[in-house]
Amino acid sequence: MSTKINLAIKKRVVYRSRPHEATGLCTGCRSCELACSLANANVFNPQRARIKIVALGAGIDIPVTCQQCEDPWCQKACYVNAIVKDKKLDIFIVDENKCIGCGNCVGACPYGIILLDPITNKAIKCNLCNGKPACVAICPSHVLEFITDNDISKVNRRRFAAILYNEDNALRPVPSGAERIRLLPDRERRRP
Amino acid sequence: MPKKELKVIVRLYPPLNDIAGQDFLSLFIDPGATIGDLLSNLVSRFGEKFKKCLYEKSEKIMPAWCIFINEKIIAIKDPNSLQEHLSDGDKISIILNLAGG
Amino acid sequence: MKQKSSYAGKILSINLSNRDIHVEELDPSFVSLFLGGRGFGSKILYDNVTPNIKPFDEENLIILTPGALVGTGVPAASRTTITTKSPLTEMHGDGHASGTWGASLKYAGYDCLIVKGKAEKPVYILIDDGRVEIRNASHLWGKNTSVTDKLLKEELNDPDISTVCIGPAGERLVRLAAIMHDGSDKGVNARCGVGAVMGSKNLKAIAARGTKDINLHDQEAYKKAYQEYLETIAIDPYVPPATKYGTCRFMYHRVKFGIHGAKNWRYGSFEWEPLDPEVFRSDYQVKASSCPMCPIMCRRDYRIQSGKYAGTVAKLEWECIARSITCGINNPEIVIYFSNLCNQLGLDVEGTGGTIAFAMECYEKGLLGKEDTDGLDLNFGNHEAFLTLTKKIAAREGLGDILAEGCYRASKIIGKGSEKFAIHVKGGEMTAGDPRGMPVRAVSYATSTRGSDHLRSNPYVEELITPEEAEKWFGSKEAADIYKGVKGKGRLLKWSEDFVTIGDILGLCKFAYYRSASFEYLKKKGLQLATKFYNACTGSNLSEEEMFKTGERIFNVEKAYNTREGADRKDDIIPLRFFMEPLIKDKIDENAVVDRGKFNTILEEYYKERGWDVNTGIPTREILERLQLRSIIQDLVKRGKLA
Repeated sequence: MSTKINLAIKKRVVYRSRPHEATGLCTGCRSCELACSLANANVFNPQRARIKIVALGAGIDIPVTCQQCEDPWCQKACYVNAIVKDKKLDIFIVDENKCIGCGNCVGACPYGIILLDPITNKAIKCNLCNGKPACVAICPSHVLEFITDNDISKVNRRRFAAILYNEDNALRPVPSGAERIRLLPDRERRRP
Repeated sequence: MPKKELKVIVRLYPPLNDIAGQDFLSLFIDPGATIGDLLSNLVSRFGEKFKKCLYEKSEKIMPAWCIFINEKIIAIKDPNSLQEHLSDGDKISIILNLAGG
Repeated sequence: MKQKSSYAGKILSINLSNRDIHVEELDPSFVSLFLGGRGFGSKILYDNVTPNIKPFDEENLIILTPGALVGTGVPAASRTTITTKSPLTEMHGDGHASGTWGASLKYAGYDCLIVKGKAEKPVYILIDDGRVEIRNASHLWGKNTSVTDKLLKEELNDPDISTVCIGPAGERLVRLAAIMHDGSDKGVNARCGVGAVMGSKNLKAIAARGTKDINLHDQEAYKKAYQEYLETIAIDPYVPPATKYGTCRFMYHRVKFGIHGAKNWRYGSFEWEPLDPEVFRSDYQVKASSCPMCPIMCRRDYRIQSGKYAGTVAKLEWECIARSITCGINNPEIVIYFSNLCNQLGLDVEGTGGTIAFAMECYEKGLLGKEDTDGLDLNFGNHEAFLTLTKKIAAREGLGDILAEGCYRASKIIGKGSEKFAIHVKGGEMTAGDPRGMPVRAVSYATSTRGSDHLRSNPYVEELITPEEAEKWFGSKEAADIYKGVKGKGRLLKWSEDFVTIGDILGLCKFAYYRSASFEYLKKKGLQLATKFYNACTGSNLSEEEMFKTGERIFNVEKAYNTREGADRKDDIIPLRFFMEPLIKDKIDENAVVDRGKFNTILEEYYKERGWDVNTGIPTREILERLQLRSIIQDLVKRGKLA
């Protein structure tokens, strides 16, 4: 008799995990950025937000959230072991007491979502607000979701399928070998 | 001998049409029916959300609503206006008085 | 310890003539009287731009002031006011736009930017926290707004830096020129020719970014007010159509009430079906967008997929559709392309559409011939002529050079009786819907302090109050009757004007706070919650009465400014057309003209309620005293405008 392992411990914030459903799109209001800086630093300052909206032009806005990698590039890049495990949420967070603000992690993150706080000069990344992400709570179009490993797997699968589709249709330039590895979600990268 | 029913066409504007799920409907109503009766009919047909949208919490319809019978506007703020009788073939529109610019 | 407040605390002044850059602390007594946004702008304009200064003189100021709540997370607190002496009206002028620029200025550490003087050659200003530079913009001069924005973001190596800029129209001092935020598809400070003043200073753009904190005084109160706001908009029937259709939704109202202003404000009915909001939504919409911090999501971008203008993506707002109808246009792709042209060239769609419609009527009546229109067949509804003339106006070419002056001045140049159908108030082209049949609406266009403007007053309060509320608030049940009511309308107008001014002071969007389906929700959002947010963010303790009084105060500052420029009751009037010519609809009714008697009655009740002289329409010493505007009293007395 096997025991079913509960996969529902770790959660991540993602954008539109179920795009085939009739949910809205990011409207670019950036309420999430200020909700984040308010929750983490008690101020309004988008430069201190750990979720970032990227405007791609022609009215398209996409939220980029920390992917909460299993084996993060930011942690590997840190010289002083300031990126440590939060055991409760099973994610990596920045220990501000150890961080020296060198910025190495900033360049290492393939998603560009660990940053240097301009006021404290320490690295900042999403800490999931103790399990109640402020960005998810405030999003007026409800396009940010806080989802489990099972649901994450479906998101990753769909995302990779879209890459394969696009390559197949030559709608985008095909990334080179190394670049392609960087574009894949963290789990894919660990495969030999 | 039963009296002939009246047929009226109702046009619903946002957000009523979204609540009702349709823009237009034809209704058969009793002769002698008033605008007030028509509204009761619509409310019972489309439920609480529809009612709340029109009346909010009060018994009177919210003043921001405009009702047209064949392009003639009903003075919604006059409580007697809802006693206006309907005729066969009337086109009724219910629109929010959303002046804009 | 200094109290935490969402004010940045500083005013930045830049003189482009001598390159002087000056930072001063925000004076607390100034803040307590004028709060921010339009409040700061109007008072600074009064204090500095006197009647001897012309709009294109070096000494004219451009005053950029984000609303008091901009930079915070308050819902829909995204609007920045730009105030100047208007080249269209030669009086108080301002424009409001939502975008990231105002917040960026505050994050850089400033609540207000004042630009004065004139640069020798085209320049742009960079504000980067404490670093403020005046930089060469010769490589940007002549470029469209979207290209300018793109080049600036590349040059400054920052895709997130906020910019405001003018297009070729502003550079050529076209009096209909606008200032565009972040390229061509975000906010627009459109009215009063503010873009032309920027052009007259050889100022192409202002880029701003900042890393400073905006503090919050009371987080609990802020969160509570936020929750209350969300609960209110969840039940207000006004909101779902806004979210579903964007501003296109106003079409249904115009159709039903027959107030299009079609063909230069003569026809109330029009073949509008091709412009149905459903058509825009299903055939052209890219997606719903929001202004910063806004949950209503009523901004729209539209893409033309096929045909002559395929590939065009443009932000489109309702008044662009309305003014296209004024020119007899009913093709959605032409409307989208027109919006794109105006946005790229930096033109106000209201002024441009209104002025082209004026030219079309001149052509129709034979006052302009083909030799005057450079061969264009300037008939109502002619797409090619409509779009070509827009480009000519921005380029000041041929007939465009005359029309670039706005319809009022153009009518003076063209003469031959064309003044009769230049539809403007105080020089500013008319906006929104036709005023015939709705008495207080007609008066509201006349009393606006920046030329004809429906946004100054939103007298639509009459649409949503019950007769009982009307009696309680404005003294008569009649005030709730849109068509026949006269008594109480003057008081309603004053109330509406002061109420809406609060939004401009705080930087709040009117669609999010100052429109509603009920009077209760309206007051709740626009006054009660606005005040709660203000106190929570800044640490002030303003009552609702004091907030309302601030709106009244600022309106009076603007009125005093216009008085000083020589305006009085004779200027508070709308064009004769609306009094004399019946609105042409499918059928004509007795409400087809503005009744002169009703107009005057409402206007006089309005003056009385305002505490202004009923005969001259000029503010009195008593009211200015009550509003703590002593310096203005002294100034007006000195100039002989006040006893």
